[in-house]
Amino acid sequence: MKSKKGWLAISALTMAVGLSACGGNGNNGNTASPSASASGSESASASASSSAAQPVEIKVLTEGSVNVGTGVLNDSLLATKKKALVADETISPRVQESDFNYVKGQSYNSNLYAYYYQQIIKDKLAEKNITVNMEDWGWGETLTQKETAGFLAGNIPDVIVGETQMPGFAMQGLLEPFPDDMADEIRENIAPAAWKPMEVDGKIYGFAAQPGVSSLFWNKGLVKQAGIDPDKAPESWDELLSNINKVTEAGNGKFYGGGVYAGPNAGGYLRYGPLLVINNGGFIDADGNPAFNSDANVKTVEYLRSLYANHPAGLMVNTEEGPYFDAFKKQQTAYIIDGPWRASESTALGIDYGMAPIPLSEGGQAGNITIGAAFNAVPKNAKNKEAAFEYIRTLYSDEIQNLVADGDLRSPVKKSVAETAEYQAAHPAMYLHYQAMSGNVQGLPTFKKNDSQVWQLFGDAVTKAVMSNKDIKATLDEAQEKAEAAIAK
Amino acid sequence: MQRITAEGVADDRSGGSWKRFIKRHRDALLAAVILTPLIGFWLVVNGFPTMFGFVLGFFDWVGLTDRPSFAGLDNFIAFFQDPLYTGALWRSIWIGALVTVVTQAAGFGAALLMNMPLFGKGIYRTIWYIPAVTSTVATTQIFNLLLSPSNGIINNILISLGKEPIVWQYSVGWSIFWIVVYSVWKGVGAASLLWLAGLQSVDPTLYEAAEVDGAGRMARLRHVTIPGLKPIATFIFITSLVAAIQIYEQVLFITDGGPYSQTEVLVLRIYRDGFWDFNLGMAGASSLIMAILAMSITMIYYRWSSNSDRRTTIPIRGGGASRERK
Amino acid sequence: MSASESRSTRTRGGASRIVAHAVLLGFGAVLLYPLLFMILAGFFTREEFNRTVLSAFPIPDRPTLANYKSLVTGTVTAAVTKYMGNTILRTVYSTLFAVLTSFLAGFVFSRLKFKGRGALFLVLLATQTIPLTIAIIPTYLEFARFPWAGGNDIFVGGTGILNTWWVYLIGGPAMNIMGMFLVKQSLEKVPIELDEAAKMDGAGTLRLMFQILFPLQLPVVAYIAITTALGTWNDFITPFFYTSSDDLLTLPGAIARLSSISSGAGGTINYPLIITLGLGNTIPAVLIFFFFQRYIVQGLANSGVKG
Repeated sequence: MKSKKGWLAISALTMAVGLSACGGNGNNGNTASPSASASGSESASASASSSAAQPVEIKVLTEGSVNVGTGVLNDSLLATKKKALVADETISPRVQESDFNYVKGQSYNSNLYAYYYQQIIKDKLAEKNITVNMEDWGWGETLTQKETAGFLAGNIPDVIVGETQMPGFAMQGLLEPFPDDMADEIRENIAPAAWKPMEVDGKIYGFAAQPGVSSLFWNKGLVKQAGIDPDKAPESWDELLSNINKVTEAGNGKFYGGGVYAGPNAGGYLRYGPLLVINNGGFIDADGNPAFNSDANVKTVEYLRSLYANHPAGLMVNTEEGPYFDAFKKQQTAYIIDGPWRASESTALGIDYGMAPIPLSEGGQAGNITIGAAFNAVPKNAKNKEAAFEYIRTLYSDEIQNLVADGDLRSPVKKSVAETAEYQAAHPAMYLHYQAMSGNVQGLPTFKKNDSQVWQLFGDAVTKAVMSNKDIKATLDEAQEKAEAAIAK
Repeated sequence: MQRITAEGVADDRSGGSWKRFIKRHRDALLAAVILTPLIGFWLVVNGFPTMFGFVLGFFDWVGLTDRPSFAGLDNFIAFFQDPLYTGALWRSIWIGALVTVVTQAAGFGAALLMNMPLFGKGIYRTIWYIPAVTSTVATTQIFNLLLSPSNGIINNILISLGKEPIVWQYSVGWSIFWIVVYSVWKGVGAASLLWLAGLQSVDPTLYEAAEVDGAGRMARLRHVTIPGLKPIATFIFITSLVAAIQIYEQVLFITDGGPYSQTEVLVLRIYRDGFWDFNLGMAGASSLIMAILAMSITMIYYRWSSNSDRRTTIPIRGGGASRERK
Repeated sequence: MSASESRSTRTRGGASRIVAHAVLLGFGAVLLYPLLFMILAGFFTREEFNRTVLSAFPIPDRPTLANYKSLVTGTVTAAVTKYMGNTILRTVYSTLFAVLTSFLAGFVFSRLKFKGRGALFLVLLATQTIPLTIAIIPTYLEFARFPWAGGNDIFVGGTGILNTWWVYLIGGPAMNIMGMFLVKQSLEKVPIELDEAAKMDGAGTLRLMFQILFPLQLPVVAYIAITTALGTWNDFITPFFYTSSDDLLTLPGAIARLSSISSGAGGTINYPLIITLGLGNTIPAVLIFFFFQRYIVQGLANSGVKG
């Protein structure tokens, strides 16, 4: 009896120890040694030479617009996707078997973008003996949460994707900077919108294959009803405002002039941010500290206030962004500042639209903020950094960039693809958009501490100023003061 | 406890003195055999992570790459000095109380009706309960559609009546109103079910006696139903209050704490600290304060309610409540 | 329904019953309105939904069945039947687990006498009140790293049991404290003489627990089963946060993923589809409730626990 009890206890103990030991070896043993995943770049470059010869599988985060399912990216996954696309009745226009015939330089069914995108990635990486294993962690807030926990637990894929959270990860030192040769290549050949927001201290930490910047869109039908030439783009802030006022008047409560979304969230900051930049203001000073209450910003917010009455009550600063875009889709507002996807979405809804660069304020300079970018980056403790960078190189290959160009939903970011006479002739609106992406383009900054609190302070101050008749300068001063306190906390 | 378990397992093969020991401590041994794995499992899966979160409340830890450093009570002091936190705590309490009162009042009313011999009772119960089984993410979106400033259905109706549309999102009063409406919408079915169970636990002979005494409907409600429900009522109010001071999903999805953070409740603040700013120190401290608050409410109830009350909080007919009345 | 109640109501005539019907039906309609809205929205194509200013009862010009069909066939980004299967498996497991553990623990605290029983019970009860948000990140860490919870390497990190079925097997609430409380309260009303009589007949502890006491607790068990089943059924945090693979996704997790596509990064959210999937997720839950609800009422009415 005694011995049996003892044996039980010992076996339980050994089981516990053994489990942890096996687990430890089992999971780390196959691809990289624990030291490789823990330490920095020197071990990554050490494994680089071997990775070219041996087959490597990298784990990559995918996102909605390029999702073809999860798991290993191979022919059978794509075949499944193809079958599903043909069978799916909820997408429109519906996909036919005969649609799968894309050749470079010709347009294709936009629902096939993800399929072709992944096909190119699979083929190009197969040459380098790299396979891709995809996971989908969602987008936005939920994705940020999962990535945060993943960093903390050391459970992070080789390539991660994300939008406004990514510069923050870079600033915190969680990401691996691009190798110098790759960074040089990108700086030389790629429009800044694709990487500038991910530049920290002279190093590049992320790349987006098809980012956007904001443009001005207008509903030609509504504009015409107000007696404005629907084909002429407004050239100054004053002209835009007077047009907007005219449309609101003509709409008489049925439709409104619209303008720009200014709600207290990233959707708002990304949309009215370009106006701040154009008017020589912005969110931060040269040292990365908040600079909310500059005179330039006060003027811009004043302009925003003049737009407020050109919307259904409360719409311009609605806490959720969705209804703002809904109003344009449902032809209730005539003007909107938004990313390039507004073009294709309007076409799909049968809205005759105009698209032009955002007009400049008096004394303003062209400038913009990257929007709708899926930045791809390599975490510091990724297991296969070299292969991960190969993956990112694929994203600015001619094949992917041509695919983006032919899709006409976005502009390519590669100069050799976009700066051609053929592209300009075939896609004039997207060519203008490309030009905006290659100008002065920034990202939303990440504050040094209590980032979301600081943004909240600014966002709330702007909505307060836009909605009320309170003194704008005083409102922004107060936000600035509180923001400085929150950062010093 | 571990030791006792092992001996408990060895039950059938034991000698004389063991037999006596086991006989004397039979209950304790059996309890240990059952509870040790249960509680052990609970500790590993729920207990430890929660403790870990609380312990972080005593550390300063902001940012992923930062190292946590011991901060003593700093986070707690900061909590009570910052209106951001004290305001959120206060809102949790009063919005929670409001949600509880309205939900339970509506649930009680519904239960009184459902307790009548009506055709199709089961269908009514199901209909009233349906909101509780829908997902918060999906149904808050429908609420937002109703409240949308551009094509919100409610504003469209107001406009067609010749009234001014209301900017719901920028009125604190309306924002809280809709949070409460949503919470009541979702909670009333479950509340009515509990009240129904309570109503059916009141001894029917008491009604008969009251009727013999010539008591009318209202008199019976006042003198039989309500006193008979007292124990279960305290139980329902306390558990739903503890749940209601922790609501945050509907706040997140309907107002997102707005306007100007004036509907931000404490659990939403914890969520933001933890996930957005990665301020795990403040998140831990706030959670601990919330837990202490919730526990105090429970403890006060537990001490305050008498023993017999506690035993009769269960919806079983012919229970102690009626016996007490006699 | 109790005999006295029905008798008295009958004597007062049908007027009050009509009022009751009217109130229950009227408010019931208000409660159901969002659902009706969802049902109608499911007939819209994405384009028409986006284009139209919706009325209180939106009727599409060109209704489509595509969204509803996708509940059976799935869509290109959502393997609906697979998710549904996962949801069901998970829910059944969690429900059985909660019922069993609640009953066992409730039995211990109501029937066994041992030192520190009251204190231990209070401690367990108190944990019920802790906000769960705080534990999400520590739980993730634990699953990824700590050997005793399935993780594999405390120092370096890794995947541990993340993204495996273990997340569902051990990752739900390990113990339903409220259920334990309810069983305890309910068992305390069962006279102890019943136990003694059973023992005289030679019943062992197990037989006493599962053949004699358990059947008497069916109303409470039904209540625990409902709340657990519905909680698990709608839970999207566990599948969304602790798993990533399509093979483990549940329907609520899939809905959360489909709704978190960035409109900015080129995807467009298909609202009618998401609403329809949400309905598809709700209907089985309503059926679960409808089934158990009868069971509760029946259990209450014919409860053998009459003292």
